[in-house]
Amino acid sequence: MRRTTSWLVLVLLVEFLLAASFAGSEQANPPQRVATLLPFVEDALAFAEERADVVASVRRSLHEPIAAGLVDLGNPHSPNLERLAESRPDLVIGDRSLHARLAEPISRLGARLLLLDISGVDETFDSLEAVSGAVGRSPTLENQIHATRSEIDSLSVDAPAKILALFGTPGSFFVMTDRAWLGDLARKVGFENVLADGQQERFPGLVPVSDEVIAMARPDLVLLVAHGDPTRIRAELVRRSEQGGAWGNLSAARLGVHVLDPNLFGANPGLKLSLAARALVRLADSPTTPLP
Amino acid sequence: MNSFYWQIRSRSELFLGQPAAWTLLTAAALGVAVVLATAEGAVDLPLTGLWSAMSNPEDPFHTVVWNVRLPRVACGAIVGLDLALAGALLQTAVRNPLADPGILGVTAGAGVGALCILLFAPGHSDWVPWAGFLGGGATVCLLLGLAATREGEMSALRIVLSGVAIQALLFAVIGLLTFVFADRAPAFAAYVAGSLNGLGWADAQRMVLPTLLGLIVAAGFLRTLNLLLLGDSAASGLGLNVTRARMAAACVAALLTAAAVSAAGLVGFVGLVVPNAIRLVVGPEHRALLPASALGGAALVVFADLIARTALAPLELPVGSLLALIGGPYFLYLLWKKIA
Amino acid sequence: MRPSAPAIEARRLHVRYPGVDRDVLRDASLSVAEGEIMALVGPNGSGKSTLIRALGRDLDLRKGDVHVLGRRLEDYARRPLARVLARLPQDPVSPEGLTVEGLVRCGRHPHVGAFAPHGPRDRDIVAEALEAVEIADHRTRPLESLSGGERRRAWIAMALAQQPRLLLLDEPTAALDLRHQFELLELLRNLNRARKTTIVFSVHDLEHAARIADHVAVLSRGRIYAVGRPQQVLSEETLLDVFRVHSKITAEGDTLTISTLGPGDPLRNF
Repeated sequence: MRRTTSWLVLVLLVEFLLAASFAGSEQANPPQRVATLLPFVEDALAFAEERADVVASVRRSLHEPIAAGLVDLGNPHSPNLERLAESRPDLVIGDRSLHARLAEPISRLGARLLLLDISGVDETFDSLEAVSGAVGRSPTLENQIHATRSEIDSLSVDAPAKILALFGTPGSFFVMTDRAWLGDLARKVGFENVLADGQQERFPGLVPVSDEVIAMARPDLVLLVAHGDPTRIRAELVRRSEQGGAWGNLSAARLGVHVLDPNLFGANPGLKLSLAARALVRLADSPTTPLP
Repeated sequence: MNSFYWQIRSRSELFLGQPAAWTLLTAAALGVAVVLATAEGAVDLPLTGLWSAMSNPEDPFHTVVWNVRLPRVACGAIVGLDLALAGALLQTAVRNPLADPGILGVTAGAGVGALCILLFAPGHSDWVPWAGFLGGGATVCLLLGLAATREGEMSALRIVLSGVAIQALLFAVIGLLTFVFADRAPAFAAYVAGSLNGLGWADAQRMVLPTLLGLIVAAGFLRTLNLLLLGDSAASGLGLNVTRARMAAACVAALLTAAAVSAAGLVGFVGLVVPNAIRLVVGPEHRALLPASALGGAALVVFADLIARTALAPLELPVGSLLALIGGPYFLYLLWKKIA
Repeated sequence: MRPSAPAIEARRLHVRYPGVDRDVLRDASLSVAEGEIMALVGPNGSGKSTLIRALGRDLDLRKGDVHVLGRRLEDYARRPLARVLARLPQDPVSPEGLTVEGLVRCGRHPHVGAFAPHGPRDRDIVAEALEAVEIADHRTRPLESLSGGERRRAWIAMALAQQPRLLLLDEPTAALDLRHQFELLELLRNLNRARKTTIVFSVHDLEHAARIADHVAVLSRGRIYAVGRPQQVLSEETLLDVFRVHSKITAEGDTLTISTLGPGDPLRNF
């Protein structure tokens, strides 16, 4: 009886090992052709080269063409459908709020469309996992996602601070609430958004707010994200502060007013959210250190 | 040699004198525009490969041409046809060459209707054309009510001023809507500027019914429209119910505008530029004016869209702005001629 | 006066323009027999145009009614009325680019309607109308290329294409030079004689009125001052009373010659 049992165990073991080796060599599927309508997805898919081949992407800034070898789809708000068709993608990945209306034209091209909700940090990571799933699961990419997530969870400011995050130029701006990814990220690392008071639910991610409310806000730290040259925007900011008014009040913020690098903060950076988080924490803890 | 030249010249003058001539010419222009627009685009396709791309589903360019480019060209043609026809009808209805669905705010009215559906009932996008028609129709009534004096006469200036006022009001409404619903805003920017991006065969199909309806009514209406040109007193003296005729023309114009706006957003100036240009050569008789205007409008939009999508490829210029660039100066010229 | 029903009859018309608080026409009554020519004369503002327009249902009546061929005006639908009565407004709008023939064809609308095609009979009637006013040679020319007189005749041709029994013309001789005025008056007289069309027209020149009209109605301050044969009604007293002008009038057969001798009392506001 003991001999039969040990034979059985041996057979099962061999079967298990064979099955495992088969699973390991399941990479017979060729990588999918992917078109990205979000720049951070293109970066993320660099970690999944065995699964996905990025064939087309939108521009990060309107006047700079994209990397060589990729089909240029142009403006992320209005990607060129002919070029998209030319690139013959299997999968197109886009932003739910921007690209939902393209569902019909893209389905006509015979491609799958994956729409991502990237309005918050958790949502962004869930979206990245969905991307990994859509290309047939890439362990490298998923490790990266996990690592970035853990790093953000581990980051926290030394002392809570009130933050006001703005998007736009000193001449015209919106306030970012916790429903925008930057506001959510700031909240995660321990900041308190000055426009809280339980009114968040009514607002979408960007809110136009009057100068008076801004002037009364009294945040500890003010962040400004703007498209364009940070040096020029800083200069305009200084000019406005000297004029007094809302910006004059803001310039008295304890931790200062900072113009954030649009390359990192202009759009959702995806896997680089950890870099962004580190930058934010640094601003609170050692505000004199220059921005990354 | 000399007499040959004169023969050709007199023959062509004779030909051009016929009302049918310009219908043929504009049809030819449309044909050329369609061929060019199908051959050119953001993706380079050699002319020789065009036929294969269209007919052979295995051809690598088939999707580009058949699923992206051709439906867009078809939609552009229908939009141009609708707007030019609407413009011609409005110009006769208010007896003024400055009338156009855009200037008179009819486009904006249809746009408000369409936007309301897009904002408040996004699941029911098939209601968009009807909401557009209601919006456009309401605007027409508002305009005619505002512009009429007590005696029922309508002067050119009153119509244009009323139209400008209504248009400003409606654009303010659109601006407010897009501002308050800023999170859904990116989808509207292209809509408000007017764009044919992303239009497919389904959109073309949706526009066919209102367009056909408008064409049939307009065709039956040709003689009535001629009578409207004679002035209210003379037309009613000939037995025409002037108010009803004017309303009918305006309603058909609203229907056509709504169809165009529902697909392409707020595209303007086609209804102004094309019928006036055609009228200069063909005259006011609607039997010649309406078909030539419709075909000319289709050709213009197809051509403008071609420029919009190839000039800075892969970036797209908004076709509405391009048409405004052409139409704006022409409008100023018309205004100056009328007032001077 | 003939005993048969009048072609057109106005009974105690009161007309007021919106926004004005006084009647422009007061208690105006007029009867025009079939086949006759009636001229309306009077100073500016006396209501001549208003009366012509009221007779043609071109404006609303505050009180009173109009009878056309024995029936009340209100009882006529639009097209049936246009089949018997044709109007020529004072300043018709000639659309740019419209040809003479295009204009005259419009006159068939009361008979043919908007949808039915024009048949050979319609084409004949249009050709006849063009001949009758003698502009058949200009049929393909655009209206704006014609002289004022020719253009006026084109509009009359359009009215003739309606085959009306009544023709109402508001100052048809206005702004025409002397020769064209005469030509037009002769045309009206010939039309009346050849087709027995009843013609009612308003005119400033009293001699022109006397020249072709069977009867003349003098209007003054919105009222009918007098109606009758030209020689009876156009007297020196009438001219002084209504037109405030001293005159000397001589009659030779059918022709009246009026020499004005200068203004009388200064015009009083009414």
